[in-house]
Amino acid sequence: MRAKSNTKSLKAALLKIQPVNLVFIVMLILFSFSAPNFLSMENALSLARQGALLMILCMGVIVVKITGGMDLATGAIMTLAGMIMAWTMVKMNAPLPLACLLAVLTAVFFGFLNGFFVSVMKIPSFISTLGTQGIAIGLALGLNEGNVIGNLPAVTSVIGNNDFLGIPNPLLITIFVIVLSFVLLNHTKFGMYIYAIGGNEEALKLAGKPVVLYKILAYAYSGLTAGIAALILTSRNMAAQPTVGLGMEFQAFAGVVLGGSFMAGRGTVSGAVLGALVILILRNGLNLVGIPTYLQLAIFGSVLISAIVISTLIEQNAQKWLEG
Amino acid sequence: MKETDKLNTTNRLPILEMKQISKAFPGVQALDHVDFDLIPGEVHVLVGENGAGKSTLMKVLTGAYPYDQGEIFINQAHHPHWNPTISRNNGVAMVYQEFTLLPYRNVAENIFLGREETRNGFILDKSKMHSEASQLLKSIGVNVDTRSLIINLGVADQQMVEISKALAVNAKILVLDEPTSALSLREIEQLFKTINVLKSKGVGIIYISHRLEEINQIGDRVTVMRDGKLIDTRKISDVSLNTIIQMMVGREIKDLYPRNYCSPGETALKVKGLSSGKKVKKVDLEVKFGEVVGLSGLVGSGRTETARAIFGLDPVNSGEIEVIGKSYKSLTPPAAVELGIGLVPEDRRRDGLFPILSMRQNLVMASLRNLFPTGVMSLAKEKQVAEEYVHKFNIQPPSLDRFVQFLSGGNQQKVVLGKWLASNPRIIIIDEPTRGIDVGAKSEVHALMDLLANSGHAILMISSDLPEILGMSDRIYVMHEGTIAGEFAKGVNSEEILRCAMGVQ
Repeated sequence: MRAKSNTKSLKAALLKIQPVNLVFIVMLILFSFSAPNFLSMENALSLARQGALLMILCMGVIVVKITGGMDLATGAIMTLAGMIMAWTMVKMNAPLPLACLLAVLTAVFFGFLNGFFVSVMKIPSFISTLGTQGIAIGLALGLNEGNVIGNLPAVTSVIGNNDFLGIPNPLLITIFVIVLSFVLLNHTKFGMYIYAIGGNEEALKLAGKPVVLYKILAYAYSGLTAGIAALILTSRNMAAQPTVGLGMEFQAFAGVVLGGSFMAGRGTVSGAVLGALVILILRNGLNLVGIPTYLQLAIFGSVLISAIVISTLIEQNAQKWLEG
Repeated sequence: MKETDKLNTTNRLPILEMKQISKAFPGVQALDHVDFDLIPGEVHVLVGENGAGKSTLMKVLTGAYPYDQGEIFINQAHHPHWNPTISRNNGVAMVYQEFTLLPYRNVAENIFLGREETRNGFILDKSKMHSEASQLLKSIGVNVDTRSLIINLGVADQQMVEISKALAVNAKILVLDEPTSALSLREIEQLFKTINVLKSKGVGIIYISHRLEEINQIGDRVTVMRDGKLIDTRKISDVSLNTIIQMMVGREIKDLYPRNYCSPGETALKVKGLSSGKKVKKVDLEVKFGEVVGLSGLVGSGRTETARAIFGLDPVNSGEIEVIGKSYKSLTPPAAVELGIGLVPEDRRRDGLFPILSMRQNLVMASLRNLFPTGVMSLAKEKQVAEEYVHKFNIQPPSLDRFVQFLSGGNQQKVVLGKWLASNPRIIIIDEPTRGIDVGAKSEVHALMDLLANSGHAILMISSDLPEILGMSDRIYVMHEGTIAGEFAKGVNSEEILRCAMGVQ
């Protein structure tokens, strides 16, 4: 009897391990053996710098994902915001803070548009965010006739390349966004209602809360994170490129889903951080090992689908396994 | 129970009065001048057959439906404008049969959804919410950890959370809709204890139930509704279960039904010990060619699920299905169609029709292989077949290219029937054949079913409409909680059917 309850609690503990953790550990082991400089400090720092963008985007996408939607526009909004930032500085001689503000406002506005289409116009999020993706990319290309905007004022470099107390600024900003998202989702009414929309929208309506408003806010928040990512991106490159965000929405979505948010109403910030790390390390490791980019995409896709299939199978059979 | 606990319903002023409430939906008077009142600390049981108007009355109370006529008073104050917010602010709370909980959030978060406690207006005060939630649960005698996720709780505990959620907003008028339908006996006892605690706190409870045996246990007064009308409100102590049942059914079966002759042939469909999912438990039934067999029972008794299991839409756990003398463990929908079984589903729009395809396309959809064995379709033949059924069933308007979403309910039902008949089934399972269609179309559908049976088809008809069951069936099975509770010959009276469906012996 005693032994039985012991194995049961052991089984329950095992079940709590998310597949993404396993993938993470397996990857770490694989790459540290196959790529000699994978575990170096140098590589870790470059990971932190490169990873900032994806990590920040994931923090917005997770919020949308928990409401049961998806945000395919996030990469494109980041690109457009970056172009706005560079354009206002180079063509309009705007000072850096104003340029940053305009960039972030543009991004929030596009997020707001997504939210408006999804919640007020009731267009499925897949379609409306695909639409705004197109609009954002079009505008980004049009702003400088498809060309890169370079020659940014030297001060721009501060955001993406300087350190503060020995910690790279992008890493600081990333940590800030992660903490902000964590607090919002776990310790505010906003977060509670985001989970409520995904879990049972009707319940929130019956509680007398404006579901439409909170949905709009979710997408606007995703816009905000895309705007913040754009600041780092533009500063690090010292240029704005109208195609730079291409494919980022896929990576952000994959990171969030890998982190355990494959159902409306579910998902955590910690899961999304881990998911984003998996994608980053995968990308980084595959580069170090020398796998060509086109194969990398195929590998991302396979990892994503297998992780979801495994999680779903675990979920479906967990009860049987616990009891049997 | 102490004498002082006994509620004296005469000397307390009602907390709620609904006077002469009327509400019409297109084609049906759902509520017809209904009076209803509730006294603090009483359990007022509301009973009536499926479709008697109980849910509509409650939806008017919660503000979900506006009413056409009548007045609502709370504590003797008239409220001329009634809507969900005003209803909630006046302490009306409803616990629905399907819970409105967030499965992956914890108990406290669910109880406080929409009215979270915060520190400095922004950061959630989780410890306060947990301590208040656990106090609330304790005060109604429930022992649940406020940190457990809803998905990990049993149905009974989920219901307690749902009730606590209502109490957290200071509900004074609590509506419980079929609260015991998913509970075990022990859990029901716990619920009743909780209800008694609530009564002593002065909460007025409106208790909707199909389980008449509970009424004596828990109720103080009972109101019976039928066909949207109030039949009577009585003290439970003054009325017997038999009287209540009589009040529920007391209605003449009018001579609406064409079915008056039947000569059953060989067995078409025989089901032995069929179990499926949680709602179908060891069902035995038999339908012969030339017969209309009625399958009666309350909503949720497992009738539709039985039909789905026979047709292979839901997995069969055990039992066997015999079709025209051959026995099968289970069927798949294609196999069922191959064997000549047609299923006309309950929700026509969702399961039976392609709303944005034309009438012609809908009518031939189930018989494409028969009509076009080579796989190449011919418009002329489609038209010819569709024409035949439009004519036969008198589908209005008879324009073949009209999208079926633009037809009336009755004509849609005829298209669904036509679709199946075009595939030449010999065994037809038809779920709620006349729900939501007008009287004229209803009698046409009935005449059609009569014709089909007389021409040798076997028909299994699921219906919640008791007169229809009594008028159309040659034999009647009654389901109660997933099993066949009784079998009756034609000529049985409605009281016996209802008694059987409610599990009253």
